[in-house]
Amino acid sequence: VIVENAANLRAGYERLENVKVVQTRVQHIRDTRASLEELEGPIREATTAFGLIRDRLPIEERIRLTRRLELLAGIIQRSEKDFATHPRQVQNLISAENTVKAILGEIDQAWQGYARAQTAGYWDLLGIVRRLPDLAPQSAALHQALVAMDPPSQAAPRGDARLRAFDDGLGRIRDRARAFSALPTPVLTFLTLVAQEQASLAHLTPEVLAWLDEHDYLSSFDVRFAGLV
Amino acid sequence: VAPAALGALERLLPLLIENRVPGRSSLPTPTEWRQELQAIKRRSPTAWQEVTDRLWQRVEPAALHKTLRASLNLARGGPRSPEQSGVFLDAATALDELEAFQADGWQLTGFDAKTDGWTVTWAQLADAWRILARFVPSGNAEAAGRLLEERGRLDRVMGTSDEETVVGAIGETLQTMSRYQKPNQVAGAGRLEIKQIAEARRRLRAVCSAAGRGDVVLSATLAVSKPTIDEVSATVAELTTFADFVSNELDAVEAELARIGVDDASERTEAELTGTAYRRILGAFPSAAPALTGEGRS
Repeated sequence: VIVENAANLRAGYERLENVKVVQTRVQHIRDTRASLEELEGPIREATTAFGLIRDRLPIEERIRLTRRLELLAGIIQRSEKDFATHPRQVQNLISAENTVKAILGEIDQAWQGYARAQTAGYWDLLGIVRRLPDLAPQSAALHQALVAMDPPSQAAPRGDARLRAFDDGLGRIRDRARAFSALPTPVLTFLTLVAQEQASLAHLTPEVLAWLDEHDYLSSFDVRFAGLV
Repeated sequence: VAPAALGALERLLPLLIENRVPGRSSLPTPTEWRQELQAIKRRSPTAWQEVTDRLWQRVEPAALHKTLRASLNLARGGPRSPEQSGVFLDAATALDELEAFQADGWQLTGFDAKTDGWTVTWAQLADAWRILARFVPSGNAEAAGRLLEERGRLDRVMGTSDEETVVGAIGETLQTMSRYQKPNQVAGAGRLEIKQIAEARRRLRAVCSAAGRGDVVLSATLAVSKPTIDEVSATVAELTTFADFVSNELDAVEAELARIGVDDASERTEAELTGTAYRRILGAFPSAAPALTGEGRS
């Protein structure tokens, strides 16, 4: 009895130990899958966003973000390889999660730079034309179109709809800006320099002066000594 | 029976039988033992002195029985005739008859047919029986009962296994428990030795055998000093405790295994699901990073 029970007990201990090892391994695998499931959303977000805006970015930015995504894919590939021998990949996947979060931030930044560059010229134009009273309705329309656009801090589009909305907004801005296309280039240059407080009397050419006089804007300008506060 | 021999026998038997039975409260001290034996030897013929010396040594039940028979036969006394010595007992017959005598409730009836060739008188024989019977320890039944119980326990625990197998199983089990860091209160079983268990078994077998043969043989068997009844009990208790522990622990382990109810396929399924998740995630990359170069893997 003692011999048989002792043998059964030893076998039971071993089975229990094996079961616990298997349980631990199963739990480790589940932990890994939970981490992967948490990671999947941000990765799809990043790859989709980058896919949408990639062609609009400067080449250097495009290469840099591509490499960042390759780095992320490399982390996950290594984790997949290690998974065969080390079922708990949570730590490696946390590293991937941190990387994808950083990449998402970089994609958003790249997008914001792009978006800002797309609208910056129109904001400058608005800064000039809004000082011209007889162009007030057009200025207001441009302003409305610019404000309706995503603010520069907005994240990169994660889907086609937002990208289309951005492009539509940009189209509206372009349409509204066309109202100012009749302005002669020297006049536009002069007004731009005035807006930047960099205009001098030399910029006030006869052509510009004539245009201002024609549109009754002469009283809108002061002349001051340069360098005086 | 010669008075000197009877006197020696009368003093020797209690020392041989009663004082070797563990649990008696009136054990003589070693000094008293020596003094008593010296006194017996001084009063005894040379032959009895030799017997005393031999009996003083540790003896097995069979040896003790044999010695008792020899000691009774020695009373015939060398070249002298039984008539000259006044003593003649066929010890083997005497002990056998003593058992039968006791079984009959110490009734003298029934001896007539068995006296052929005997040179002892009824009175002498009756005296001898009386002396021997007087020293049959009253605690025999109790001690034998206890040992019979111990034998039952030992048989239940050991089953048909030999000592070596049992000791091996204990050692392996303790090692396994240690390897898996299982707490236990049976480490003492690890000190059990093959010889110790074997001696306990032999002792118990001898007592059980003697128990069917009457009180004198049983007394002689119980009188063997090693291993003592307490030592035998301790050995059996150690084995029983270990066996009970193993049995309870086995129940607990089996219950634990049943509670956990592990599905062997679960690990494979989980691994497959996780592998799919990896592939799904990596599949999300090509649209954004079509050329996964080695740079990302450095």
